[in-house]
Amino acid sequence: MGGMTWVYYKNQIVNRGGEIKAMENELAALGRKNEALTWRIAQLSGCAALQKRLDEGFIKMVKIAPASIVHVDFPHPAGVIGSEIRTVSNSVARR
Amino acid sequence: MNKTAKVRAIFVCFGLVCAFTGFSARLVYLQVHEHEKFERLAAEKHVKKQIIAARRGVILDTKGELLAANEPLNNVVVDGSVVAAGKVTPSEIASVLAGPLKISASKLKEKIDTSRKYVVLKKGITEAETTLLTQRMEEFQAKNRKPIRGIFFEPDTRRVYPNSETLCHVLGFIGEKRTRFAGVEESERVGVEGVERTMDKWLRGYDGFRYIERDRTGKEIVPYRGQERPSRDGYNVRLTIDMQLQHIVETELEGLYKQYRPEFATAIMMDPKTGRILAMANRPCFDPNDLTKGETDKIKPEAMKNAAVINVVEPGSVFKIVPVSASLNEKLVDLDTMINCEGGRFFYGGKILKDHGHCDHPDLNVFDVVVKSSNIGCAKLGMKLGEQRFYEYVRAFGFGERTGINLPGEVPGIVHSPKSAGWNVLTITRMPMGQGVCVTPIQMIAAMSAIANGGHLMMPQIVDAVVDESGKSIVDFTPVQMREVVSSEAAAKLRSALKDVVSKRGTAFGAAIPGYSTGGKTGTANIAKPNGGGYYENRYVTSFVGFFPVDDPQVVCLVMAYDPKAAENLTYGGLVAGPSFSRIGEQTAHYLNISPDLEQASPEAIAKLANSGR
Repeated sequence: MGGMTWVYYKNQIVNRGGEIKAMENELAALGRKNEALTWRIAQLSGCAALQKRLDEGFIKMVKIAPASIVHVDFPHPAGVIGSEIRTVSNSVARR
Repeated sequence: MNKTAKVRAIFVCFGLVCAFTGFSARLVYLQVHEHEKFERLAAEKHVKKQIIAARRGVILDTKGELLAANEPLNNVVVDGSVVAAGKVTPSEIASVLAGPLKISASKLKEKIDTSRKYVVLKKGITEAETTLLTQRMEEFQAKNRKPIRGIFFEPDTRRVYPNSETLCHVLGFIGEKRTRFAGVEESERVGVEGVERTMDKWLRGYDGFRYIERDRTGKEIVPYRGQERPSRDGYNVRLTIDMQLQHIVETELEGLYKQYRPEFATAIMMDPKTGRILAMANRPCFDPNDLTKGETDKIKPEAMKNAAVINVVEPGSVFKIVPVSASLNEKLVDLDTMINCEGGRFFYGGKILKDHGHCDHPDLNVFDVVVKSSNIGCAKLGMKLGEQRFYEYVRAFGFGERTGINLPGEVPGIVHSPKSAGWNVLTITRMPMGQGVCVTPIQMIAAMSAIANGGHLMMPQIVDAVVDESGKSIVDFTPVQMREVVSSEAAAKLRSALKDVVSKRGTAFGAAIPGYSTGGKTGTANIAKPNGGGYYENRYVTSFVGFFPVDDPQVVCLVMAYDPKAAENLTYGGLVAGPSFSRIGEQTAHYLNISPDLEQASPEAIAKLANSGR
């Protein structure tokens, strides 16, 4: 009886080992897929790639005219937090 | 039982006892005496040291954009002994693999039909190709009801650079280093150039290992795992480079390179307050993803040089910031002090030093010496300082020593001391105008940054931090102030003069940035002939180093072109490099949201006046 139990538990240990190995392989495969996707995303979202797509006309963008750009100035010091006044400026539009 | 039978039985029993005693003795001998030997033999057969490969760290820009990454790949390997023991023939396996591997079936069959245990069928197939290959093998197995055995995928990686040529000189590339240890050849990947090389010890990490035991089919018996040391992946390196700014600089430099076809061109952008390099580009360049082009001579070694830190040039007039700031700092002169410019021809040391046609006045004040870029004015300032003191200022600005930037191969340049043989009677009149001294572009921008930030020489920094996988900082590279070169008052005075350089009166109106006060200095230096044979008449190093806004400089930028091909009367720093600086500055100001501090002139007016720049 003791021998049978020993064999049973030995088999259980070997099976669990197999499961551990399978899990490790799965994790490694996921890590590799993740890395491959990260690289692919970097390839597609990099500055050079976006510029290429822009040149190809795949992405449409309209250049903002200087007159449409408003610079938000830093707030002047004020006594109460939250009451600071932030001014905007656009010398081109002002003229 | 009769006596004979008894004797026979005794003999048989004795024989059996002897035999079993012999077996037992042999068993004891093998198990006890020969234990270590057989244990070693068994271990050699079943135990294997499995390497757990460390992942090389990635390189990021300051905003976290990926600049260098690892692409997971697989090597397809065949174990000939397992194939031979299986039910599927080598030709059947070859027909399945040929399509996805893009190798002819006959060639594959030759490789698979082997008794060797390790034959690489193809190196570096992508994850997508691996999936396709696995699918084909499974389809075959389902159709023919017999498994393909003996084909394995061995994990590997390839270093990849998503932006190809962009920032190639800064990032560098990696290579394979082969070593032989205890008769076994090992190879490891190490950084060869750029940040890949200087930060290799952080990026590399170290491999781990694990002793495993395998059954007769080669499968690991997990419960019998032995000693184990986990791998430590390499840390990630975050640069000070901002890829948006890098893109702006690369685009403009590419335009300059195509238009003027210089031998090489360099552009660097720096934050003067911290010394952080925001962008650095060189032409010619190369694609670190495809270094094999070098074999077909498409990539020349020159293209792999980071000219910004390796190439030395005689800088010409941009160097005039040194004698002027030194004279102001020593209070030998003020901006309104008049200097006798000898009407544009100064006879000294047996040679005549000439000024440009547009500044051949008998007298100029120091302010106009800068604005008009007078050679004679600067020579006189150098003479006022004296040889030793001028030399000390040159060294204090960082010329003649490495800046310490974290890039490989940086050179110190050449600055002769007054006591050396390289210093002659003419040097005190030539060095102040940027002749007889060799500097690197990175030294030049660091010196201009010192003027822009109030006199502090900052160490140029390209690496921001070393971070772990979660983004937690392991090492921070904080700004390093090398020394205070000149007082803030002297720097401010020079800045006011440099502002007028980028005006209708100065030599670089083409470098003006619409809406922003801009200061800077042009440089147009004749290229020296090799072996001290004088200077070429029509070959120049043209450059512009500038900053904006003048009152509180946020950005310093250098643009340099070595031997641009332009008409004789157009080969000036203000005309070749100035307009590129202007376009870079305008886009940078918008990107960094720097508020304009000037009323904007119309682009047409700027373009019209730009032609007057030198």
